[in-house]
Amino acid sequence: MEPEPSWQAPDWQPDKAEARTHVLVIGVGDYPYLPDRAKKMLALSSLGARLTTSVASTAHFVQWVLAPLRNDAAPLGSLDVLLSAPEGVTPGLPVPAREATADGLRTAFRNWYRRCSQHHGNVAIFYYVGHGLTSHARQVITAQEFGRDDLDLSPHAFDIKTTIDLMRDGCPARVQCYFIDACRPPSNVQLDPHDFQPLLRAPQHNVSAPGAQFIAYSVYPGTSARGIEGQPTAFTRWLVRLLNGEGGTQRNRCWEVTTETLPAAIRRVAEYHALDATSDEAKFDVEVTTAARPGLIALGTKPQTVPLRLGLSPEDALALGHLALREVGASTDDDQRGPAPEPWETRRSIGYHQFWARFASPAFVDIEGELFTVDSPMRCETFEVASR
Amino acid sequence: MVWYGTEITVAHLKHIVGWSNPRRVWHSAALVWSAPEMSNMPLVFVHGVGTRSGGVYDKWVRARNLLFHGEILEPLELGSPDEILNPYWGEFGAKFRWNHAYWQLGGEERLGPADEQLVAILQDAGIELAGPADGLIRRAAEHDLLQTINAVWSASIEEAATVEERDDLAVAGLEVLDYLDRQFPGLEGRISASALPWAQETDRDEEFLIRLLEEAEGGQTKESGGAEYLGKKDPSRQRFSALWQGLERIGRLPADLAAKPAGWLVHTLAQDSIEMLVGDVAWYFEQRGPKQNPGPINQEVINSLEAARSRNSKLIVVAHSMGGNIVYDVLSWYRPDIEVDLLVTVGSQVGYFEEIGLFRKQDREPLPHVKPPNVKRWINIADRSDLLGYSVSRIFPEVLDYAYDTGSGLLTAHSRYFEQLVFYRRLRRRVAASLAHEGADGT
Repeated sequence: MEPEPSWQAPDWQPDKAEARTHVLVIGVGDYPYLPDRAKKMLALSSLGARLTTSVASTAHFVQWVLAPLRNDAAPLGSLDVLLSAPEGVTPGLPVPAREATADGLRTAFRNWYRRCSQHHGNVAIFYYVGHGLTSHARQVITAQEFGRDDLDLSPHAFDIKTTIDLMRDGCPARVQCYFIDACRPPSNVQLDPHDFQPLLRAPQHNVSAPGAQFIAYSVYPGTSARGIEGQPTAFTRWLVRLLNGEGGTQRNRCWEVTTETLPAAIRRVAEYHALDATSDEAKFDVEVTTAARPGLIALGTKPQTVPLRLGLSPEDALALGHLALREVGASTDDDQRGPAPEPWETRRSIGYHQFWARFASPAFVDIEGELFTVDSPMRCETFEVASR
Repeated sequence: MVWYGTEITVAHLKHIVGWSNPRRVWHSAALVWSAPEMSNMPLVFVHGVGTRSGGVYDKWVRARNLLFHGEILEPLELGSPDEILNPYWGEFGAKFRWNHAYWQLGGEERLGPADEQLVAILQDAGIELAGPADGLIRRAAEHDLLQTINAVWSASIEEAATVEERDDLAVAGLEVLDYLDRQFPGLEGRISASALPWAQETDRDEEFLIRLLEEAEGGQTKESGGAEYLGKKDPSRQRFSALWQGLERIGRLPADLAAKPAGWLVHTLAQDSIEMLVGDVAWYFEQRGPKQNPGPINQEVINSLEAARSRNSKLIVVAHSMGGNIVYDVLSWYRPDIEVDLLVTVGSQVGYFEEIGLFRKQDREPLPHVKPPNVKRWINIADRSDLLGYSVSRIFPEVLDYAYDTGSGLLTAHSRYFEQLVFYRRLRRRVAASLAHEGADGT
């Protein structure tokens, strides 16, 4: 007997032809066979057996799904959660969850695929947090038994990148979002001999015009993902913020988070933090895998204000410039800052603004009311300063 | 004037220490030294002959500062990194105006000083350069683990492209040293890598080094602040790219060497050492100047000593090679008013020059001679294989002579001391013992 999803909408009938959002959440925080059994293999020697951040991240994401998820075109139809929590850690989930075993992952994914494929207007959302690997340059995710057989790792880990490729060509859901919160280490020859298989072996559909699909990763290739013990990862926290509205834009009087705005917002967050190479945010990565027309993921709330960082080029001009900001059409007073060597960091409303820079030194030409936009989730703007 | 010592700020070091494994405990050294209540103790390092700014020298100044701080100043609670001053007198040394035109007989090809030194390091460390490239390090570590670690770190620090990489390497090197010190307390004698409990699990060089780094970091996926990694933490490829470049450089050496004529290495190393020593020494004596108007080399060193002296009431001076002779000349003749609490001469010729009467302060009395009274304690360190490192205690009995085995050959031992992680660990013990002795004396 196939397991029921963790939660399904009372008014949703599997056979009813209507667009719905179907969410699969997988969190692996308990790896009982790591690191002892797998320690002999260098590629696995430092993998932790307990990931409390996986538990907290799973709970954080699930709470967003049930918040409730707002998408009138595709209301939430089902939510399935697989979570393996370390001993002594209470997940605190509002819905029941099954263990994130390898068999559990296969079954849950197959069933989620079926639900997502029932209507071309469906929204498919997949979220994974746990240990990640790379084999043959393909992203691999792991189940809780990972490492049980150190001579053959493939039964307990899956090639998620190939899985997603198969979903693109074999699932008619018009919107497909994949969120992978896991390490993406460099390829390691020790892992390549293991034949990691996709979660979906033989799609039942053949999609000629794939829907809008993208993959958001917590880190770019070759790097490690991390989180603070007992807390959601920075990636998951940002993801929820962006899905709640900061990753959206205004359209038809609504604040929409779409397959176009969300990847752009994730990139913007990474760019904003790029100056701090040690920050988790600087590693965020997105891969848009189809060129389909954007689709709605959720309706969010317009942010009140967003972070704004203003710089000058050349940078030396900052230390000599008096800077001022004014929102176009607003009755609020100008925002001002005196000379300082670092960029000006502030928060402003989304919309059009004007910028002034006046220099004590005759070496630079003043900037007078240059127009620029502030949009979500944050904005970096560098103004060129002419030299005399 | 170049004040390299001021490049490192306390904030920067906090950043580095913040990155590093919090379980690393500096104060776990076997020898416990109670710091005097007074305050910081600046350290002045005076370099030796053949030192010229740019390239390798600049890289080593920063790494050496971190190692001095991490291994000596911080564990002994003597001060912060910005207490280290590095007077640079190389710009006043011998100048080869035509780029060693006298040297070339024609047809010789040089790999570059770093590679020549690296070959010497590897040969000194017992690395058999014939055979497959991968496994060189592993085989060398079987023979002598500490010297191999010294060689790999030395090459990698030269490969590091950024200051951050060098800082990371230096701090990671100290973690490795702490780890090995726990495994083999005291780090005495020659240690084989096969004694490491996990050694048999690694065959390839990269595996061996990654495992060593991971074990040194605690072999866990958590770091300060309770961070958990969602996969393999990357202490290695990401953070230590210079280490892998150093490894690749070592791997290329057998092929590079095969193209060299027999005796090439001995010839190039001997030439470098001798021409620089003769050139700098001759230049120093030519321009050292009268007492009231010291020459530029002496003045540079005096400036640093005065600056350090003005900061606090205690001072350590570490001088390598010719730097020891210059410091002795300064403290015994030019500025006997500058008090030094501890002088450490390393691979120095002070005893030799004193015997043949080259210093300004001439003492023609029969032995023993008395050390300058403004030098409270004096340690002299030399490798028995160092052709340019001599005893001092036979001239000045108050000086303590210590032997340190760089594991290097006759031609390279002289320049190896400060490139070796283990040297700093041993020096810490000598400094602590000397300062503890001073306290006991009430001086």
